[in-house]
Amino acid sequence: MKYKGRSYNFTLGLGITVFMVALILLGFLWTPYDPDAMQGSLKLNAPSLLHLFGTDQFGRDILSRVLVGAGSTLVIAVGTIVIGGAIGVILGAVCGYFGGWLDEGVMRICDALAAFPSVLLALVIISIAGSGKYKVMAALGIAFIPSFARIVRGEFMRLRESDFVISARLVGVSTPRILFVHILPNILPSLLSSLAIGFNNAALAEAGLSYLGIGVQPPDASLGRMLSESQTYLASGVWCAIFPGIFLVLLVLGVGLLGEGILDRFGGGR
Amino acid sequence: MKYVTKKILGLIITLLIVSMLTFFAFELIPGDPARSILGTDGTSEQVQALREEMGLNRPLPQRYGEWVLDFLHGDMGNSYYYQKSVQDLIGDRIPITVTMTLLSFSMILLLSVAVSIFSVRYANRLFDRIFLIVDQVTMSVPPFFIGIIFTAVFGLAFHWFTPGGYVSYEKDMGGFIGYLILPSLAIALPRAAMAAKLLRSSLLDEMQKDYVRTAYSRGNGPWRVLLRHVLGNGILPVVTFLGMTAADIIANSIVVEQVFGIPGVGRMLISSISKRDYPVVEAIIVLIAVVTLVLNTLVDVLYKKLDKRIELI
Repeated sequence: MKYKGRSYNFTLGLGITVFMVALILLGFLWTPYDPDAMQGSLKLNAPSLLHLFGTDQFGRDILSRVLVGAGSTLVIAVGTIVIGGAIGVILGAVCGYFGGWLDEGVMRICDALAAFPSVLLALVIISIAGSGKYKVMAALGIAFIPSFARIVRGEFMRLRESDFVISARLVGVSTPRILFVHILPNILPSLLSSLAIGFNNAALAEAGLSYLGIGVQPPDASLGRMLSESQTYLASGVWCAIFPGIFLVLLVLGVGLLGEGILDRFGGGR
Repeated sequence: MKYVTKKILGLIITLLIVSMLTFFAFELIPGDPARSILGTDGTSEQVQALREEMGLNRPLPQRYGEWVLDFLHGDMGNSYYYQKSVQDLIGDRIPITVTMTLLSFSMILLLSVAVSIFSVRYANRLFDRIFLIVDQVTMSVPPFFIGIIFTAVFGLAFHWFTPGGYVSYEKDMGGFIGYLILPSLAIALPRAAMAAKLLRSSLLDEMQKDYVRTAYSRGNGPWRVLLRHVLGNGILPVVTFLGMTAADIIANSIVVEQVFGIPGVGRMLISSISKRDYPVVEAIIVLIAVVTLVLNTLVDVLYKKLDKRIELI
């Protein structure tokens, strides 16, 4: 898979990710202005030294809102991969290791779930359960289970007959211990890189849902909602769209590079 | 032949599971459909009568069976909100979304093949290096943000199109396709970037193989080797990816339709979700799942036909 030259994916990805996450975490503690404070005299001001990203149609500081909005995105994306990842890993591990009718049944249901684009599945869950930050997280988490389960299952199937697993079994190591202490660490590179992909899909899905008005609800700030509101003012305040968008792109770019870097550097039996 | 039969059987089982999951998921919704149609004014007798008429008092498995049979006959149920049948509501929206999906898909195919061929031909030269950076960034941009940028640049700055000025295909076919080009491109770009990346690495792998050297030694030029010998083999691993692309395009078209004000199936879905018009939501979701599943099966079968090397049982 590699061609000439060394891959800088890992370093670059790690750099961007750490920078973006640090900024967002900072946003949890401190923002330059109150993200919800409206100021009539500052409507749609272009970026300046006082307001680095400019102000929106209500005179709110866009930088502060972007930081807080990206915070929601981060929380939802992390929550999604924690929910989807945990359930997916357990299902995938058990199915891949034991095989048989259980595997067949679970994988059929996963196939059926995977038939829905994950955003669509999240839409179903949201249309039944209602919208809001934590519901979106749960909806996306459930929607992402099949993708994690499939990857983990494949890896466990690959490793279940390998020498170190057979020896562990002979020595009498308990099955849960074989699954999660012996095999799991060996699939970390591919698991981590698929978690990175999942993080990105979750972040993009959250932004899309919030753009449609069925994701994060006000008063929680969100990048998707900012983008949707910005469309009305595109002609007079293009920065209202540019900065939330670029922030999202940088976050996704960083995590994406990091995921690939993990595979490049630590290898994952593709 | 055995492979195809097996695939079709698998497809039918999966479709059954999908339909059950959807049906029972929507049964879980708290609230009485008859009550939501009549509103708070309806007396409990009226609600009971409507429940009887809608068949809500019959057992669940029987209703599931009838729902599936009706669906197969093209009867997708009735909207609570519009008091119309779902097929009437989405009938003239389907061509719009299908056109967008087809446009996007052709763009993904054309862009990824063209760009990756150039990048492999000039591997590790300037074009390739720039391509790798641009490609990685493009992959990270959500289609609806690309749509907003297109609106700002091509709509507001260059006046190439009127944002929100959708042209119906019944009035002006040319204008209709013209209006759909930018939205389709917005959906296609990130996906094309991913496909191009996959295709590039697959082509580079192929370039290392013996038959390439043989092809060169028989006097073929680099372009001819790439196009006539390598491309056909190198594109195979990407076929599966392109198959999964259909689901992705449809999902993204839901959002992008909103950006450009296109009255497609996705907009109907979103407005039905906010109106809690469940029969419409249910029907659209099952429809999308069926299309996706059928396409995926087709791709698997096509892949098998394309690559004689794979012998699956």
